[in-house]
Amino acid sequence: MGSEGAAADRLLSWDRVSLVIGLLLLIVGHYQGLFVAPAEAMMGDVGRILYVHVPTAWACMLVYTACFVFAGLALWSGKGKWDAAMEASAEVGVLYNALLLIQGSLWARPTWGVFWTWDPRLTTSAIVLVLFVGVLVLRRVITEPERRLNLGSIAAVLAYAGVPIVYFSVKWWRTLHQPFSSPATVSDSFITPLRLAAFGMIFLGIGLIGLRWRALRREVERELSAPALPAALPTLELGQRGPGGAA
Amino acid sequence: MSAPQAPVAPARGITPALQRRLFLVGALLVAGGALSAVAFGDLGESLVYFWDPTQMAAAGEDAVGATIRLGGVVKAGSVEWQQDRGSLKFIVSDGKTEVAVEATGAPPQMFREGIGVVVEGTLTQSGVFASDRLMVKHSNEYKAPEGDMSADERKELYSTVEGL
Amino acid sequence: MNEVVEPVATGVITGGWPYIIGAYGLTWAGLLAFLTRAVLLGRARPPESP
Repeated sequence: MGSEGAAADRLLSWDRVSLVIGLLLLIVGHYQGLFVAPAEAMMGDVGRILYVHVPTAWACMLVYTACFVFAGLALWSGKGKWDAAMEASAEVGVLYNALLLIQGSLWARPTWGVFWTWDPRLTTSAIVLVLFVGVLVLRRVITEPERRLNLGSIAAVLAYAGVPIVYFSVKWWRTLHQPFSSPATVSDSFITPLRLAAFGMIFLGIGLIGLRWRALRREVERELSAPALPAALPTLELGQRGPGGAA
Repeated sequence: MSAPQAPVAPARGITPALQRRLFLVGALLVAGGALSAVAFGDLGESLVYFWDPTQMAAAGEDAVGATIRLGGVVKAGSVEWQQDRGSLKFIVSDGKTEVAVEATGAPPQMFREGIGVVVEGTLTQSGVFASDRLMVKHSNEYKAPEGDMSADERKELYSTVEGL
Repeated sequence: MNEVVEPVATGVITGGWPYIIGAYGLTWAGLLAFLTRAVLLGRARPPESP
């Protein structure tokens, strides 16, 4: 974590290791879910979407939680590394959230009979996706690095308020979506592929965040440490003189 | 590290660092407030995805003609396919009140007696609920097909739609 | 006389593989696309040596 730029190019960095572990777990979990585990009693083979949808949902919530924590650290410390970590995890959260909605509607059509309905769980998930897309857009729009850190992180903290609402939506309101799944409600033969895929999505998420973090951190830290006002010239020169020069 | 602080700090009461931390506290308060408003407020009343038959009956005449989502369990033995009209008739029950539903179009494959459904449509003057959108509710139980389920297991499986 | 098959379902879903393939396929496509983008963006600028 505390390692500096030099460590970034080590072959065995924590994000690469996590990425590979995640991909392997996900492949094994999905293979088991698709070809080894029995079909679901009522949903038949369509029930196998469980092994991709539920892990995505769990991992998505963890990624958003990480984003929330990074946003808090960024505001507390003002450090570029947390600012970059916030953006990296917001990106991965948006990816998982979008995948979640796609998987969900493909599962809903054969089971419920519709691709989409404005059920509280579905509606709140879509709202949270829009909010975090908003965080990313905000960061693109603001060019001044300190303002970007402040406003981006404030927006992320506010957007995160939606995440517990999504989680509890099936408890607080009537929904078409089923309530929480847990090992108690899932047949034993489904649990292994479900766990493998869930850890797969989580490790993959950590890896993807790390990968994006590395890239974003270089830019964000450089911008934040650059002299504020018109003195952007020296850094510009430095950048242009850099190796290659081709962006 | 925090170089920019040095020249500014003595001049003003609120340094950039303090300002950021105040932003953090403010954002946490707003987020927490919004969350508790949703959790403990009466929002649940205005965010009703579907009515149960008892609620619809309680609305009386007001329910007639409005677009409504009605949710409940398909009563055993009530399913009837009306070939001439291309519609499906069944009774939706919440254990207390029963509503006759006539749904057009092919139902989802999981539709059957005893399963939870949500139907979209309108209550007609005759008291029959005319639906053009039939949705099947799946419980949070995922079971492997281990022979035939007992009646009790079945009941348990759909318990999530009971006691609405 | 033709028996009219009732569209009343049996309560069990049969088939549905297009949906399954769609859900897994789009998920993997999305993950790999993001991964590729992340790798490319990570390489875009050579690490700066001050």
